[in-house]
Amino acid sequence: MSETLETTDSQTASTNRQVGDKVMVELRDLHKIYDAGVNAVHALRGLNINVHEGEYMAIMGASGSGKSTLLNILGALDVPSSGTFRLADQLTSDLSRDELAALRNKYIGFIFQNFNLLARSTVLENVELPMVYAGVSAKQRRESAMAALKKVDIADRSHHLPSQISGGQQQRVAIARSLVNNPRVLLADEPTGNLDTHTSGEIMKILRELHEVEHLTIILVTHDPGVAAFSQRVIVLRDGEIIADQPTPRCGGPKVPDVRALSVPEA
Amino acid sequence: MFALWIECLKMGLRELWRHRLRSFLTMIGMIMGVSVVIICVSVVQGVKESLIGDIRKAGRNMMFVISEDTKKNKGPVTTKADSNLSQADARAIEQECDAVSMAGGVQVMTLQVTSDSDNATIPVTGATHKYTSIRNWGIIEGRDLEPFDIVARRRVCLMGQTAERALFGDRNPVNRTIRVGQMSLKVVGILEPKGFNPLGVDEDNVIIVPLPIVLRDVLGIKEPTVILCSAVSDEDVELAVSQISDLLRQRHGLSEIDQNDFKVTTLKEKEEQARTVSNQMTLLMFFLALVSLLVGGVGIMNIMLVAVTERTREIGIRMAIGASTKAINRQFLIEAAVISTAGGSVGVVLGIAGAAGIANAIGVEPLMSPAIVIIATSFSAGVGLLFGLLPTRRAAALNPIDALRHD
Repeated sequence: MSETLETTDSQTASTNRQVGDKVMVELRDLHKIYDAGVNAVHALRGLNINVHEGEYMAIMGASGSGKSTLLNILGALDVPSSGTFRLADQLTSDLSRDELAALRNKYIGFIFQNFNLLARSTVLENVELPMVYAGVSAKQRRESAMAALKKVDIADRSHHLPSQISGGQQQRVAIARSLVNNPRVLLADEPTGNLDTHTSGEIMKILRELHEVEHLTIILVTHDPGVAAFSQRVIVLRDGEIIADQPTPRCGGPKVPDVRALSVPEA
Repeated sequence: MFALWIECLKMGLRELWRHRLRSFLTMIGMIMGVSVVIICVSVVQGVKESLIGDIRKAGRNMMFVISEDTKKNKGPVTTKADSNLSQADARAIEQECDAVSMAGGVQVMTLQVTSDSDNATIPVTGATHKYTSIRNWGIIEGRDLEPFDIVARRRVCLMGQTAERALFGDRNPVNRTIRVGQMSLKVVGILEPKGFNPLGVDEDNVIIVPLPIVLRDVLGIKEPTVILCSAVSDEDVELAVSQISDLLRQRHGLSEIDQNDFKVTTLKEKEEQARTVSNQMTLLMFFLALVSLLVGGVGIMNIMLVAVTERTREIGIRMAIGASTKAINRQFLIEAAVISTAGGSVGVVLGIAGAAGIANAIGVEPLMSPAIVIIATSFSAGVGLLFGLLPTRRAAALNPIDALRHD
């Protein structure tokens, strides 16, 4: 496994914002079934998705549509019941628990709605943590962490605890943490869900810059069309199936579907 | 690899420091356990050494011949008029047994003693002029008992330090008079301090008078029930014992099938007994203390279990950003190990201090062995690790998604 993980480093510094040819994420006939048995819940029903290197994709859908399940699988936190998920040519169903942990560590950057920082560790320690698990030396960790914190403009808070800074600042720290191991894919789960409009805008701006300047592949889950509008491509899920997969509407283009109208009416 | 362990150790230390109070409370179990082990073992070993030292000081070449009532099989005879031993036996032992250097009858009776100002209950030892030599006991003031004192039943006595303080306070008792019953006794000499004997009896709380005074004037009997002897040297004790036995059997006219009507005991035997008893005590204390260590270990397990539940989300976050099962395992194990070794180390310090304090209070020198310190600390670390394992496994087995959702 480690061989594949290390030999696919072909990201070229392209100034072209065009999506690359290389497929970063490949889902084939992906199913996820919970509680196999009489009360089985079919959360994902045969998804086929390709996400190319450098692509910025939003996944939308009402609650219960399967988008959280999909994000868990994309984040290598969960495994599909059937079908395949390839991340940077690595077939994840082959991997053991610890290999999945290594995959998350080196290939995936997570940004969560509730930031998920370690409350009793300082900002700097939080950002260093992924590198601790990657086995990076202490000196190198400090340098990389400070560089990442500078990138999101929060370096002056490095010795604060998460509780001592605002929500927007915490999310910046979380972004810095997601970047320190140079991930192939950034997964953002409702990254602005706990933030006010102004702060949300700042966070989305950072993500857009990461996409435009660093050509990071970003997959973002949201139910907010305003947030989805920052992406290049929108996938809409309903009942575990893709009901729309289209370029994000720009000014004058077709409107982003209103997911509330798509949700299953409650009984 | 090694760096990762160091990193985990740092994280563990930070985590424990952030929960100072809780960590400390957890450690108390270990602290108690380790210090109790060290205190118990050191003090008991110290007591043992002091016992043996006392016995050696008393003279390992000392032997007691005690009259035993064979007919009624009632054990040693103490105040009986019909003692199987006699002063003639004592003289014969001294003259005929070449492994014996000195022998003399002894009779002890605890009596009410009064001086001109005080009164006290003091063991009064009736003995011969050889008593102080056999016991290797010096006179610091005045004179020793002399042969004529014994033969003439002169009303004189020697006084130990404790008895002196009880009866005369700070005054010099030499040439003063004490009263025992109807008798007046003149104090002729002061014994040097001897301290406590192996049985914890204050040897200085004593008045020594000529043997016939206790026998005839106090008890109204003729012969002593105990003969105190000393062997020529420590090595000759066994030979002396057999010579004494043979001589007394012959003198008492015992046939080959008769049991001894006396018993010979030696301090060498007592030393062995003291050693055995102390070692058993040490072992007992050690196991009791180990139990407290185990209890401390359960405390650690409890806290670690709480920590795992409390920190489920933290574990989820760590797993999400790439912590392997091994890394989570390592983290919790190290925390458990840090708690228990830190507790163990504090326990060592407290144990050494406590042992010194307690030993000082009971008047012995604590015997600290590095082995016991090492055993106690490594045992505490082991217990910590052992009891850290279950919570650790639980933490590492968590599903990252569930752990992340945990509040």
